[in-house]
Amino acid sequence: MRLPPWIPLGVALLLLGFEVTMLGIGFFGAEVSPEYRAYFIDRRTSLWGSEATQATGLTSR
Amino acid sequence: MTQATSTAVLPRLPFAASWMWRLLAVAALAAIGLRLAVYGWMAAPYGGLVQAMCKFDCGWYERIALSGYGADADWGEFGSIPHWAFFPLYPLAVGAAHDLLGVSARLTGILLSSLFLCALVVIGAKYLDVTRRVFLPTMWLIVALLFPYSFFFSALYTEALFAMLSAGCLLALHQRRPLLAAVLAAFTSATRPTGILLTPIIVVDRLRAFWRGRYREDRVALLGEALLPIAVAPLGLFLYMLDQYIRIGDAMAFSHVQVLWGRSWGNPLGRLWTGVASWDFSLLLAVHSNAYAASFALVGLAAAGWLMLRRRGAEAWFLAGCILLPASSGLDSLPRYVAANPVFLYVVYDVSMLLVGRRVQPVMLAALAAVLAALQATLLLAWYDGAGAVF
Repeated sequence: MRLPPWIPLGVALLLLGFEVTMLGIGFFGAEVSPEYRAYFIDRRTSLWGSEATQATGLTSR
Repeated sequence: MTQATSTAVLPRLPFAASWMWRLLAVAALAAIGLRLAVYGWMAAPYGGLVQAMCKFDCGWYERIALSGYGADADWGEFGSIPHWAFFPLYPLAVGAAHDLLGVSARLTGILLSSLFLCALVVIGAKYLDVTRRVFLPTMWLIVALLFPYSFFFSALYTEALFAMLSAGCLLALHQRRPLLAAVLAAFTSATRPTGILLTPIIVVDRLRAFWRGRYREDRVALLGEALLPIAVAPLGLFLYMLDQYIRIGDAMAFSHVQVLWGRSWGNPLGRLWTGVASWDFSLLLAVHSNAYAASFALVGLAAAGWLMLRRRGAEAWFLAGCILLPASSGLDSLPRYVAANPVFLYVVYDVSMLLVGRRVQPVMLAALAAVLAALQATLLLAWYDGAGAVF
């Protein structure tokens, strides 16, 4: 049985929508602590303090 | 007695016959088993095969396979964050096989990677058979199993899975099976970040198909056939990004955490030039040599250029991309990225066929095999010894 032609197209558009959304979130939508952002994203700090890690609980989100 | 074999008159392998596939797979499996036995014999002074093979990134994959991404990475105050640099498909497969087999994750990784290598040998054989003028199975077996860096295909590393999936994707595209190629590309992009480089190849292929069918009446079906593989191909990477976003709030963590290894974005050609200019070859096989890593990358780029001249655009793009993308953030691991790339192995096969000429002498094949095996043994011993240059 052959699928109706709009099903592959619909699935493709849904997936592309998801992927564009993820790209947007990836580049602009990080929900992280200021310490994480400074160290990993903006790369402004050179040291990751233990107090910052404990305060933000990044590892257990 | 050495009977010369003229490759010019060799018939195409009857790959349509399933017994030929089975024969090649059995031969590859036997050769890989023998290879592992030799690896084990060489590893005896280093605590045995399982212990000796697990170096550098192996520990990361082992921990993710056993405890998932949430486990403490045992790296200062960073908790589990460093794990996100390692893509999920391979450690997930090792974890599942480990639960199934009940043996250690390290041994599971060696067995699983060796199976992936066997599949790579068969897929590569099929690909070379349909894309090269002459295909000699013995030469391909020698290249795939004895090339110096080929031992990574039996380690707890992503190389074998990545090579098998990307080779499968290129073969499926050649066979005009775009959806299968896209699914394999999706798995590849869930194995290593460079897997995403297969997506542009699928995009070009589908746009060409769309252009060829532009006069068809069923435009909706045509558009679906073009867009669905394009949408599926990068799915592995985007699902991994979603997982990272849900768990730590950063969908690009796989890239951001690379700062822990001193990686940051820059001009890849500039980095390669700086690497060669450092001229620290004297460090080779002792610690990491920038000049060696950069030179290896340049050899890979030259191979990509050669493929381009031979109008193998997809292969050239994939090989060059798999070198330039990691080189844009540093020189670490470049020899491994080049030498374990299936397309680079295809080029080694091409060059070897050119070197042995049209009349292949068995003694020449034996000599080539001996030289490659000796080089691999040297690198393997350096690997067992923990030499950073090999890595």
